[in-house]
Amino acid sequence: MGSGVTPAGTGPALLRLEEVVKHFPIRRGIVFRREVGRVRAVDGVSLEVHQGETLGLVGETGCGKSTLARCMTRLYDLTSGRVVFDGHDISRLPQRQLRRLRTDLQMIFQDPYSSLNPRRRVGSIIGDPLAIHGVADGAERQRRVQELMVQVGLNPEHYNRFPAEFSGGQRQRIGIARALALHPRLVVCDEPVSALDVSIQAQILNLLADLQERLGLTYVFIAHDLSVVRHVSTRIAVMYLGKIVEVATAGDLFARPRHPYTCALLSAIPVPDPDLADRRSRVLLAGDVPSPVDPPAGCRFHPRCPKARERCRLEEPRLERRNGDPEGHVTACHYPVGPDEDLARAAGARGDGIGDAVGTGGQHGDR
Amino acid sequence: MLRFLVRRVLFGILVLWVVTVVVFAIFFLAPHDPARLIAGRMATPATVAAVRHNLGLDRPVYVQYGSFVWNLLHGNLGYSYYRAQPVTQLLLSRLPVTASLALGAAVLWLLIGVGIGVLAAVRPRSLEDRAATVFALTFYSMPPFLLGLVLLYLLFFRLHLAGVTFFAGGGYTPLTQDPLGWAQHLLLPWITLALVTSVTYIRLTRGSMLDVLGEDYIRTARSKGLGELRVIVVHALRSALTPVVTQFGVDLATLLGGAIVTEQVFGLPGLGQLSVQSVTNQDLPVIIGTVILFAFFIVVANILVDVLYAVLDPRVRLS
Amino acid sequence: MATGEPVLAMERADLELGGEVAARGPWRLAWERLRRDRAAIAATAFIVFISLVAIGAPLVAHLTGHPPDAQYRDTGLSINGIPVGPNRTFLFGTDELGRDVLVRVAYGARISLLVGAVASGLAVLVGIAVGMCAGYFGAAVDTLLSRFMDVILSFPLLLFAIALVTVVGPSLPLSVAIIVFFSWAPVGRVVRGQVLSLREKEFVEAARSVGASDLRILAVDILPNLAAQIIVYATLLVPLSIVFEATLSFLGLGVVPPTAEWGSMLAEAVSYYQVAWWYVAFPGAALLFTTLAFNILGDSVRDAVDPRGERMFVRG
Repeated sequence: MGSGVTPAGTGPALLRLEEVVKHFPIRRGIVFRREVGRVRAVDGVSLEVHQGETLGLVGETGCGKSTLARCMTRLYDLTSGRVVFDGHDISRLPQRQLRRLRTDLQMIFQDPYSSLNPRRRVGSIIGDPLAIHGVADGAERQRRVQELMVQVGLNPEHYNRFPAEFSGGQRQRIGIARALALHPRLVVCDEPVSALDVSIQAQILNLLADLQERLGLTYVFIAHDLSVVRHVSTRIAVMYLGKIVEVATAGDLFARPRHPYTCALLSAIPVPDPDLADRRSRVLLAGDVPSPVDPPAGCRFHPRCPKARERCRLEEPRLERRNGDPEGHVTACHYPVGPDEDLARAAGARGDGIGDAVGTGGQHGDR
Repeated sequence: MLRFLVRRVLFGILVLWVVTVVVFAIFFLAPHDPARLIAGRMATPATVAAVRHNLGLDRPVYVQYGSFVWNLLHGNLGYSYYRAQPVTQLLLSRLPVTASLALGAAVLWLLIGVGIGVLAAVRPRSLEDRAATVFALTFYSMPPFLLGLVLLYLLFFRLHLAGVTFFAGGGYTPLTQDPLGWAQHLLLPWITLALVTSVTYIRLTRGSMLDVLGEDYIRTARSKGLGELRVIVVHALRSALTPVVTQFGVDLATLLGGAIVTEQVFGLPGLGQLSVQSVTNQDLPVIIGTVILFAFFIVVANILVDVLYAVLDPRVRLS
Repeated sequence: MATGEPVLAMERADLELGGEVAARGPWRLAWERLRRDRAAIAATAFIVFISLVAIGAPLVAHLTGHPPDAQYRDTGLSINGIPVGPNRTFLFGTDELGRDVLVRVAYGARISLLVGAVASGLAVLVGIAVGMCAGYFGAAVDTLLSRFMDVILSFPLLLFAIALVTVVGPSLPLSVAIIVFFSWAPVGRVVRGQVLSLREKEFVEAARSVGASDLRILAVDILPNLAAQIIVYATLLVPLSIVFEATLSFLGLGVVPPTAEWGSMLAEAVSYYQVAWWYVAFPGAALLFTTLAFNILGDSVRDAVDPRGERMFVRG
């Protein structure tokens, strides 16, 4: 499956994020609620999305991807930082003015069951954007909606049905149709296939790729599953605990991952061939993801990193190009993983012991 | 738990404060002459002027309000010109009647409501359940005064004609004087008040018990070999009762309203009857006093109910 | 499945062999369920009947030849001044002033039904408006409105009616106002709760991402999801309003004599019940059956609209 016809990263930056920060305050108190802490969901993210490409965004649950998605589309207000879309700084724009932007910047949601209003008919849901922006009315609107339904693979005769009468995959198509109604330029897809069965996932991914080609869309594709992201993305950004740790083209990321976290994620992708699975090394991380309320000092990944050293505890690494990497491949690590380095061995050497306990054989192959 | 209690008490105080403000606003600020109203319909202009001076109605509003609240805090609820008695004294003399009525009815309706509800839940779709439903339907739609009237007619009048003089037709005998007479006179009023409200509790308990009885931990208790009675009373009832307690809090205000009406029907010389009479007599101080007293009781009772609820359901305390 | 999600149902009657199975929307399903509820049908029939009586009260007066306030001391009262029982002239008997009880019951229906409809309608409207604002806009607005609702819910209702009437004097509009004032808060609270949970739903977020304004979201996305609850509450508030108004009139705080009203008639009946059972029976029955009918209907509507909810009265 191709990753988009338009050459990756060659167009101008359609969407640019500069040190975007989004914190959620935690409040306590009997009468007056004071802020006692903050959830640092997104803690300084800078990204660029180029015209025509698909930027994949991956990370574990709780790393802040969904929050970032909503900051991108200004569904949330930013705590600080800038979001520039098509040359316009939309960081502090009031909702009324943002509305006009909505025609160009759209979003597809994760849960096909809760992202559609159960009490509204499908035609009305899809036609909502058209109604709101006064683009079309009455019969004309219906015609357009039915056109959209056909485009996403739905039967236009089901115009008057309720969402409950559709399957999960079909509902997601409805969501996609709604997002496309105004011919947007950028679509942020927040885990669009995570809630679907595997067989349906492929269909929806195909549909998205198809639409991108036909309509010249730009995607930001968010997922927690690297294997899904691999197929659709031009470039991929890896996120951890509110920060981006690595950005590279899809090919580069899979061939030469530099950040230890990326390596761990990659090694966790299931491989169909059992013999191959046995022989490869698993990098197993110790512990759970720390709470975003109180992230670790220095490099956020250091408590779980097999390669962590003193410097990692003190100094936060910057997201920049490392030796030997092509332009555009940036990593936030003081000691990025080398091409011949076996991280699994390092994890074993650290004496985590977890690697020994789980029998994915051959992990300490050259010991 | 403490934080919860503090919050509840603070809120209660807020309500009471709002009550005083509203009462004050209604009676002292409205486009009528409070002095006239307080002095009563029969008062001469001289009396009215004296009253006005006594009450200090020529002082600025906030001063009046201040002294109003000050008096309240000292238990001084004013003076009734119509009855020539301090209001506090008047209210206290009538309080036992209303208290007997309200408390007795509450106990009765809880017993009936929870009892029948549990029965209905334990034997769904049985005769008991059906009977409970019919019972519920009928009485739920009856306003208390109508029920009281019907009961008066059937259980008092008709039975008296038939020679059965068990039920009394009205009036009140103090508890201290004659306990049996006290209960006898209050029996019909109790039944009246209790029947109408018990319905909600029947269906509430029934629904709640049904839910709880379906839970896994009940199944575990049974499979451990515990007797059915123990399962129901010790294990199921405690969880099932929480909505009942909540409902009780809501019903406290209704209870008072029902008491007022019941006193009218049965001629019980309680606070309810007093307030209704005072409306006709335009005896303002009494009404003010009654309203504030009732509000106070409701707020306190609500706090107690909430605390009880928090005891039964730990989640409430921790929220 | 989330609350409010319609149950996809193929009603058995529609499953014809070889025929197309047509799935139904949530409102259609609710209507079907209601249609089959026999108790609801009976209740509706009675409501229609009593409404006709209320509307046709002047007709009743005309047919019997007795205006509602006319006192027939010679034919309507016995020698001792006691009301006359049901007979050919006075089908429901007379009251203590010799007035025709049948006609007065008919006129009383007007007041009860009017108050029931108006009071509950207004209360629901206010409750929805406030509840939606509190639930949707959150923060300060919510705190303020919620506290306000809580305070109202803690008020002793009847007492305030008493207080207000003392000062302003009894009247029908005042009764309606009092009922509305105390009835909207429970509705508001429930609506607020619903809106709070709806607000977090993804479809609201989706609407916002498409550019919908707050007002539009409230009207088009949130309101239809509230409709079920609103309908149930409205039908349940009607009997409550009727009873409350009757109670107020019973205590002399509602309508002014000589207006015919079930509650005030029953107030008089307290003194006469020993000699005039019809004076209790007929207004009482009218009040009871009207309230009962609305309660049954409300219960059935609630059941039709949200079958997973608890049935108040399990029937059949």
